[in-house]
Amino acid sequence: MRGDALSCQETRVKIYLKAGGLLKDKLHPDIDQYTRALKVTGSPTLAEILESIGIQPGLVAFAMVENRLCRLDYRPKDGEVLSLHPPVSGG
Amino acid sequence: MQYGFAGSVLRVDLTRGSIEKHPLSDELARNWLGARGIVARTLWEEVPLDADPLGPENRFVVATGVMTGHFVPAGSKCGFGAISPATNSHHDASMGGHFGPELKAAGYDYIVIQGISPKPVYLFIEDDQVELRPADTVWGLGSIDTEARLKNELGESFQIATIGPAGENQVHFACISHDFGRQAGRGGLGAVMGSKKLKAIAVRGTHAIPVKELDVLKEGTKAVIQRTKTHPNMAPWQRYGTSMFVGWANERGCYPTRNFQSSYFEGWEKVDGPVLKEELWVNDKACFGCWMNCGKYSRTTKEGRYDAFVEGPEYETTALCGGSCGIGDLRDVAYANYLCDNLGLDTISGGSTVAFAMECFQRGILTSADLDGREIQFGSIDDFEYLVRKIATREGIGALLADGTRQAAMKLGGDALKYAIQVKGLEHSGYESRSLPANLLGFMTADIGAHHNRSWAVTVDLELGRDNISGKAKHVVYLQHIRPLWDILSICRLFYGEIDVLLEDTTASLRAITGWDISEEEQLRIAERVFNLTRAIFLLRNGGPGRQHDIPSRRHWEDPVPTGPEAGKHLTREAIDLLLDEYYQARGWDGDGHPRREVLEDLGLADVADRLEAVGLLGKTMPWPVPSTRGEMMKPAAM
Repeated sequence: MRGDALSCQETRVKIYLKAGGLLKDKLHPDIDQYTRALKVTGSPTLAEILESIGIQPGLVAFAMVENRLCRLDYRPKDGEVLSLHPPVSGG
Repeated sequence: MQYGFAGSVLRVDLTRGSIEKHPLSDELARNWLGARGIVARTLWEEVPLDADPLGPENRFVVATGVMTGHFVPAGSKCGFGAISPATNSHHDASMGGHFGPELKAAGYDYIVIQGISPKPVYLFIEDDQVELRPADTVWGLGSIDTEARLKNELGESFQIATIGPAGENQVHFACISHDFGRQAGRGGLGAVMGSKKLKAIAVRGTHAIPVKELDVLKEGTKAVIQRTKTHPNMAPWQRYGTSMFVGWANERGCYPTRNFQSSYFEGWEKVDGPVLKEELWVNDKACFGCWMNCGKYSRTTKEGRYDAFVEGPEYETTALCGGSCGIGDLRDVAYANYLCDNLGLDTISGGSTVAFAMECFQRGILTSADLDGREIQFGSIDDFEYLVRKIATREGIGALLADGTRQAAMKLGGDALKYAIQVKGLEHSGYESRSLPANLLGFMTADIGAHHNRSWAVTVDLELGRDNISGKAKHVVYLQHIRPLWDILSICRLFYGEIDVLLEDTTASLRAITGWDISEEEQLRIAERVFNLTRAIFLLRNGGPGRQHDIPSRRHWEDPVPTGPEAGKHLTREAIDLLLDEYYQARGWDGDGHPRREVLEDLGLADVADRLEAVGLLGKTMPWPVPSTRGEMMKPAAM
């Protein structure tokens, strides 16, 4: 009961996830070849959002929001576009 | 007409002081493609099995690839190779920048150098003018200083590949440097140059390289440029380069810390990519034909202590000279980077050897009596500088450490070998792998020792479960073909795996350049041919069974990770053997890790099978069949 009451008060926000490389096939883009729109309830972290759509958070090294780097504990805001970046070796 | 190639080969005998020009072999070009492939075939055919890596019989090979210098994404690479003093086997290292394209424009696909010069020299190449020149004025100078001096003397348009004091003193992890921060870093190829008294190669070229279908190539590359400019991964590469993965490696518990004692470095935020960008970054750098600009040119200063410019630090340097040495100030890491660059030391093995010494001191294996009275500590840039300067000059403790961690540990005895984090004499790249079995398997079985360039399988472990052992080997085999293929072709791997420029794109370019009807499968087969040949060279020079050479430090099964997200994790000795069992089966080798005749003949290496058989090192018949396809790509691709 308590959970239902809470969820009724929570807001729904729309975010956009973009990915290329090895993450693209897992993301299942639906807006363009890189981008998927998602509606999320409340204020989940990026890691929680990724898990909810079947992407292991470990496969995302970090995300960029409007040219700012953010990590998996970031809580996306309504309308934000997050590009997801896979880890790579080298350098 | 050999489309795609310059068409000529230089042969230099430093003992005799002779230089000869020969035509490029059609067979070599078609079946080995370039760089790593040409290095392997040359070493196989020309270097006696008992030749000293630092002796006159060893060959030092500088080889471009078929795609070097062309209008393709990041066709910048040049391969360097020789029998390595670190591993006593084939080694090849790939270097970006502008040297390879310049060499090809001068008219040469590759150079084979043998002998030992009576005096220090450098090789001067300006199109058809090729000569050995005295190097008295630069012998003893750092790599960065040498490059600056030669550019001042010869002109900015010359491209320089040089060694520093570490190479001159034949340190087993001395590198070759170029463009003030690009290196052919691993395997001690700088020591091979030093052993030959060859300080540098300076090259300038003005020739065009023939292309079969230039319009097709141009249109294809333009399309790739347009596609990649808007790719979501491009912006962070341009902004941060490889340094941005420090945070991820710590959050996943695979960042080498204090000589791989842990996989989590507390305070990693201070050495992460954004700090580099915000506090040290001066400008971006790009290699020939690349619009990614992933190189970060930096300035690091500490009042009264140092003020240096350096390219980097890249991820690997931050991992090995930073976390693994316990250094948590990015300014210090960048200074460590500068020290290694100018002394001419590989930052991976250099950082790892310093970390090994620090752990040996921590455990009482080394004492202050070995260290001029010092008490060296993890985290100290002063101790780092003390050690690398000693190593580069082979003075004091440096004489012990300059041969790498394996040889140093064998001389120290006791438990020291456990703290030498290496395979086959090459120190691990920057991923602590006690809970990354596929990645560790890649390090264990890499033909040149524990280098991420051959296989980086962290994402295989993440996808299939870090605790799982079985089922991963076939993916490692695939990675050991596709990743070295970029080196063989001589195009940058970083550009391809992450920005959705894939093998089908490069194949279209390759066909347009050469006019060959060449498939993706044939290219992977060439990569497999090279891998089996280099395995054979290793076995013939180091003896069997091969399995004994594929075992990592026993820390991987004896010591649980002490801290961080993977705390408590470690492998078992049985898991190590299971990984190898499955790997050898996936390759069609026998249980000792020796290639079988069926595999070698399938790859066109019957002569290699004959030589292995003659000394009892050919793979035996096993209960399992030879797979028709060796290696399997994960879907989606995990590079």
